Amino acid sequence: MAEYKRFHFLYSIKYIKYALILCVVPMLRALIAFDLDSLFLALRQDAVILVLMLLLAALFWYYAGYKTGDECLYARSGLLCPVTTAIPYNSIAVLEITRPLLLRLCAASKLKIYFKNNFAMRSCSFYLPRKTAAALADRMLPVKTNHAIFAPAGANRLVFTMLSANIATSTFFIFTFIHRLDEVLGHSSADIAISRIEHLSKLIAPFLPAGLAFIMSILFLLFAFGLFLSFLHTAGFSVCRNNGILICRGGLITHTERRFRCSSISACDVRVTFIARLLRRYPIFIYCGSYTGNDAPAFAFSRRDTAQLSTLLPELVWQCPPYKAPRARSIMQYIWLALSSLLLFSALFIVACLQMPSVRIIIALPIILSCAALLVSIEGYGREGLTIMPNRTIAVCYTSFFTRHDLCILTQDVSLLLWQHPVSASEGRCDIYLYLPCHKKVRVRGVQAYYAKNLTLFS
Amino acid sequence: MLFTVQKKGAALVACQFAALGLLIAAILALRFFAIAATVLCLWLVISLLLYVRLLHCKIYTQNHTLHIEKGLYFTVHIEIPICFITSGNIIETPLCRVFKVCYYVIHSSGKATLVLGLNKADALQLLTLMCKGNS
Repeated sequence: MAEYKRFHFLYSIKYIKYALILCVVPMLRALIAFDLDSLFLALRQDAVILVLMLLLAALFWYYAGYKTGDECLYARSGLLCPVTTAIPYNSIAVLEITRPLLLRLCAASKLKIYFKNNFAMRSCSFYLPRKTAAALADRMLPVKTNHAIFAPAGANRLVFTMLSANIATSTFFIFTFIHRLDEVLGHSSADIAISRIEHLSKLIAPFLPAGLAFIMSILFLLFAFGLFLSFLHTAGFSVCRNNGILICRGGLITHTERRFRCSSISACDVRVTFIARLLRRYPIFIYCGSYTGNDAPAFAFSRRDTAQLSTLLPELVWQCPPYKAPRARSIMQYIWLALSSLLLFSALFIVACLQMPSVRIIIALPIILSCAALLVSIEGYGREGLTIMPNRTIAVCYTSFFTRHDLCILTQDVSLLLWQHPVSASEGRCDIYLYLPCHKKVRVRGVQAYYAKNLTLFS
Repeated sequence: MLFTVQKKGAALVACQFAALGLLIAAILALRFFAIAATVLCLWLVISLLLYVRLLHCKIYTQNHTLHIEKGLYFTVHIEIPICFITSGNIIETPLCRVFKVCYYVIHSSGKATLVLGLNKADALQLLTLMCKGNS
């Protein structure tokens, strides 16, 4: 054990945080009820729970450790049945160093490793002192210089913030936060939130049609929250490429540094969203080994200026290739979902106009969204396809909801699934599902069956 | 080299599925006889379709790629590069051991593929083939 170095004490944070939840709930209940006897009893219980959990956490921390070899990192964990894991440096695809506020106060960093292949574990995390984490990162994925190639500033920063804002993630974050708050406090925080939103809706009600103010207030708040999170995330953001490693750094409260091994990048996803179309800037998401970078784009580029793109990712061929047109592509396969929702809401709108005119404006909103989805689906009908580029990369274009994805698959580690039903078989077309190492599934509809069966992805 | 699912393998899997349906129907029949009878009929039809679907499963290698074809009407064709297959697992239940068949699971890039009712000898040969392809 002498050879093994210990992790930072925050390694035991996962044991302590459960103890804290156990402690806080009875204490808060007693405080809300203002029962002092119960409060003292709860405090005594909390003290015992905390001491026990701290002892357990300290034991786990004492017996866990790591050591670095010439080609491997050895990590040891466990108390009664210790497990030693050997991680070869060349099996690492992505290395992520995150420093949230708590870790920065304790001079620690969280080091997360994502592997190249489909290992039994897809990633593993360590808590280390800041300097040790930086040194270990330099040993695993070494870089020589830190000259930033993409560092958005001014208007570009604003554009990048807007492109990074993910309203879906923000919504999920808010709902999870409210749910957790309810668990801890024991009463509904959603009611408090709704009463605050009602205040906002009263402010904007004079400028909007009746009934729409509340929905617009919620949408506005979600968008604002998404932008705020994105603003924090993209503060001081920079991307550089050196020694075959792509490095993305940034973050105001939570400092994040990601190092991608360029040879392990499995795919680059250019997402053409509604905002991207307006701003004429396209965010690139990188899938590398088992890492799915869905939370934030690696960088953004414009069609006019592709110098940064070719410097950072020279492997990526981003152009509209001549996708092989299928013999008989069915338009209903693409638009059925958007069209059915449009028809449903249109019918509801007609009923509302006749019976309840006051709610018709609320139903008009999903009609607009369905129309947008229908337009994207029609674009998918025209553009969706797959082709193998001259440099053996696979160019894929597909649509989902409001976004068009232009995917460039750089790896040959792709499983292919062709699916046909009797109608598509009679028309000589099929759907292709591509499985990437990061467990991402890509569906391309309406590809010629003979072309799909003769695809030689692997050579 | 072509491997196919034999009749006894397909029948074993379909029978196991049908037996599960019988069990559920028996439990339902205690209170709702009509529903139990409907569920059982549907279950037996699905079991028959499963038997037909499994019979049309074939595995072969071509150009360093493992090909798996499944289905008769709703066809599925899977292609996996052999060198990227991370593991192949043979799973045997006591009943499978009696009939010398097995369930074969192939783990590759982000995907696990299951082949039901493959002969044990064929599965072992396939495993050796993949090991050779990877080495």
